Amino acid sequence: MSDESGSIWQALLSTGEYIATDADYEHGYDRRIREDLVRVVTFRVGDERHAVPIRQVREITRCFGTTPVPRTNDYITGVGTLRGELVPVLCLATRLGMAPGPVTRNSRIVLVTLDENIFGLQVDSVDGVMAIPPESLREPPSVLGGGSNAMHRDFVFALAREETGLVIVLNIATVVVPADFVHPRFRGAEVRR
Amino acid sequence: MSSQLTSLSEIQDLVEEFSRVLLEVDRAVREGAAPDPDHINACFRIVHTVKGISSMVEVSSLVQLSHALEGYLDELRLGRRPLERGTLDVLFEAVDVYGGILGHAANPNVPEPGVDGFLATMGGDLVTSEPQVPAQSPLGWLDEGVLSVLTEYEEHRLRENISAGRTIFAVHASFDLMEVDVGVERLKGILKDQGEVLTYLPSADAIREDMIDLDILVGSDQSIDAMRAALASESVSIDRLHADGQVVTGDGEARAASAPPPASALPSPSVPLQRRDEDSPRGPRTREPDTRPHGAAPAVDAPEVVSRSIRSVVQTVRVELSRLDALMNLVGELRVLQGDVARGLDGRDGGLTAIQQRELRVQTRQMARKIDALRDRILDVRMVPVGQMFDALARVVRKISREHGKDVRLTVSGEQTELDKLIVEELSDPLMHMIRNAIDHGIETVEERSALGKPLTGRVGLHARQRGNSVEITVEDDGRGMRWSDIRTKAVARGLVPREAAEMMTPKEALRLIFTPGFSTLDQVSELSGRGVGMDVVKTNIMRLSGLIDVESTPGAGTTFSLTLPVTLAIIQALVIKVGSQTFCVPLGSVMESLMLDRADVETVEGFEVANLRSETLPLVHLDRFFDLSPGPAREELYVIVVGLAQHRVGLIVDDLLEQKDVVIKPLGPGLDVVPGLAGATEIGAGQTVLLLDLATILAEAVQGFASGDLRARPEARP
Repeated sequence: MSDESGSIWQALLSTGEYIATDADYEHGYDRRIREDLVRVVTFRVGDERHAVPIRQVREITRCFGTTPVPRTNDYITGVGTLRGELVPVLCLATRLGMAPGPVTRNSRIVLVTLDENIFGLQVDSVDGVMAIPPESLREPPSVLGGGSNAMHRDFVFALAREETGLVIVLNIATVVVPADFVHPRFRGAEVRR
Repeated sequence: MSSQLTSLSEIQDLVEEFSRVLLEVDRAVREGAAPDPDHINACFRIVHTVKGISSMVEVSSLVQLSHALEGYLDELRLGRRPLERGTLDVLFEAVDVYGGILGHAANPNVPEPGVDGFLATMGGDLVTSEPQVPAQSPLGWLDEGVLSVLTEYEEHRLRENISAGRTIFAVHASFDLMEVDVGVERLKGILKDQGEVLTYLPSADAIREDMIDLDILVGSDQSIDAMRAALASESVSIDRLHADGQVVTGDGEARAASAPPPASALPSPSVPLQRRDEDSPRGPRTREPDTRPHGAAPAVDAPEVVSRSIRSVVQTVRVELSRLDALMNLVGELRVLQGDVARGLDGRDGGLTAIQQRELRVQTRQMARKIDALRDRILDVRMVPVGQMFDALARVVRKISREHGKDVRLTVSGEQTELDKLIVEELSDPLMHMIRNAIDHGIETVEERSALGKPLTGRVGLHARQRGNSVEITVEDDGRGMRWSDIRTKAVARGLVPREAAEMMTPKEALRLIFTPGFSTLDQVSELSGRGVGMDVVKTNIMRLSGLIDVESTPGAGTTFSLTLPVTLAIIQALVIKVGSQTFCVPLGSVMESLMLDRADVETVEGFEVANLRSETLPLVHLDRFFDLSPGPAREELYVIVVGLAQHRVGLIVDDLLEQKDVVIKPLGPGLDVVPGLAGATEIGAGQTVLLLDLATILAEAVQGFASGDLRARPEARP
């Protein structure tokens, strides 16, 4: 289901907490691996680099076929079946207020867990796993919170400035809000479950 | 499943059995006949078993209730408490209390019913006495062979009699094989006046082949002379076995010739005593129906109960529905995979010879058949007869008719009809509502009925039958019925339907207005049926089950509701349709027919598009507009699927009908399961996920849309 680099990341993900990174080796091999590092999976959406905490990521897959669901918000790509399980897929670019790019061979769906349910986040490409020292995490600047971007600021858990650039760590609980999937026009209609 | 749950559901089964037997007794009492003592004994035995299992699951209220009930039933079967409708009310209430306790034990969120109040109604003296082993009067004087065939009840009664200082007599009687039942009945009648008949034992020393000899153990306060006098008309001999607290040896007053020592007056264990049930044809079977092999009957009864319940668990396995759902999902996926393989085979011819290809095709087809067979077997497991639910409803009928002082008889048929367990569960509430309505609003009072010249006893019928892939359940009554014009007037008065629309209604359509929320035929709010919520709730529940409800009524003659339900919801037959560029599934059970309509046949009534279908007006809904989908190519001919749910009939305009398919439906999960109009999704091969339309909601919205004008025909398709 995944190409070679994808499967490497799968393997890394499965080993969980203690993956040494470049930062770990900065002062030589005997440096103790810090245990308080925030481990995230990083991916690209448009020109930005985003990340989600690794413990909330279950799997990364290539894009699978989804069926559009009527009456939902535009960021809901649709619902797909992955190994017999129904998975709602969100277009992360649309959700974050950006123009969605085309689906390419690098496009991936990051399967995240929230309250024991699985949701797919469609991204343009997956970079890898990164360990961020807590002290380099920054509150998102308040300017993000102004005007129509107010929603967007809620999505951001923290910002991390790495050598490779800015990484936006997302707060999954505010990005994936099941109660918000349905288009507002159809909310509160007679629901029988 | 935990053993706790297993025991609880076993208790539930027993309680249901208890209720069934009670209904039998109730019928006898209502008809003025003497209830079969076997029934009361059966009740006692059931409750006793429940008590045994209850102590294992450690639910004290169950033990308490069973213990008190056991005492109550014991008094009943000994005739110390009169068996009348009031007594039966208490017993029926016990069934409900059991239900409450079991509900709480299985799910702690369900409030626990107070047992104490109920126990108080049964009689405080029974409550206070803790379950206890009765003081054991030694029965060693009785022949061991006799002791071992006594049921625990008989043994218990024997001890009780001895404790009460009564004399135990052995009455030796001989009957002609042909007249044994009459003879035993006559003798029993006499003996009952003298004391308590403890047991009937076929005697070993029968003189002739065509005679049956019986030893009857009787406990009595009478002297042996009084007994002899009472039995003077019968050719019997009487021995005293136990009197004044001690064993009687060599009763001198007994007939000298036939006065054997007490122990040998009774058969020894080696005689065919143990098969006496077969030996004595039907006659002296007044003992409680005891199915255990007599030879295996141990002297102590408690472990017996335990081991019996364990055996029954081994024979049947209880399975949670969720496990079956998981199996069903797997089978569904297997079938999808099979389809993919078959398709893949069709697509490629390189590398395989024609023969190889043909063989593989045959094999994939066989595989499909096996998977379908597997699916059907799994479905079978989910099926339960509706009889269980009908029994519960019979209790409701009894209770409500008593509360209303109406005389109602319930007739039931088709109890063996099978439905998915889940549907049966969901169905009992709507059916209860309908039965309540029938008794409350339908059946007239006895005075009214007699004035009308109707039979005084009202009749409520509950019938089930299988019709192809669905089950039809009808609830009928022979009460006052409904006048469609009255219903129409009322609906207009309540503002439920515009006057102009109401005037165009056919009688059938007008009658269906009773399903409208807020409609009630009785102005007075009744304690039972509430205020017009009844039929609305029924409708919602039936729709949820992809069912159809219809009503027919003749004023003065009664009302019939008929429900058509799918046999199962675990797998549904779906019609795959195309709307715009998207594919959807529609439950085939709700599709009444599909038709091709010429665009010219579409008329507009007040701006709504309608078609005329066999003189009924069929409102039309464009599904593409309904879901804001990009419309398909404009055509002169329209595909219309006529769907019906509850009382509504609507024609859905679609772009194409693709195929008919059995599908396993999965819920859409959080966030998407609340999208109005969608009920789930399924995979139909090649990784394609297809949404299942929720017709109940679509129709409700369509009806609402017609009312609000939202669904007025638009000259051109929406941009």
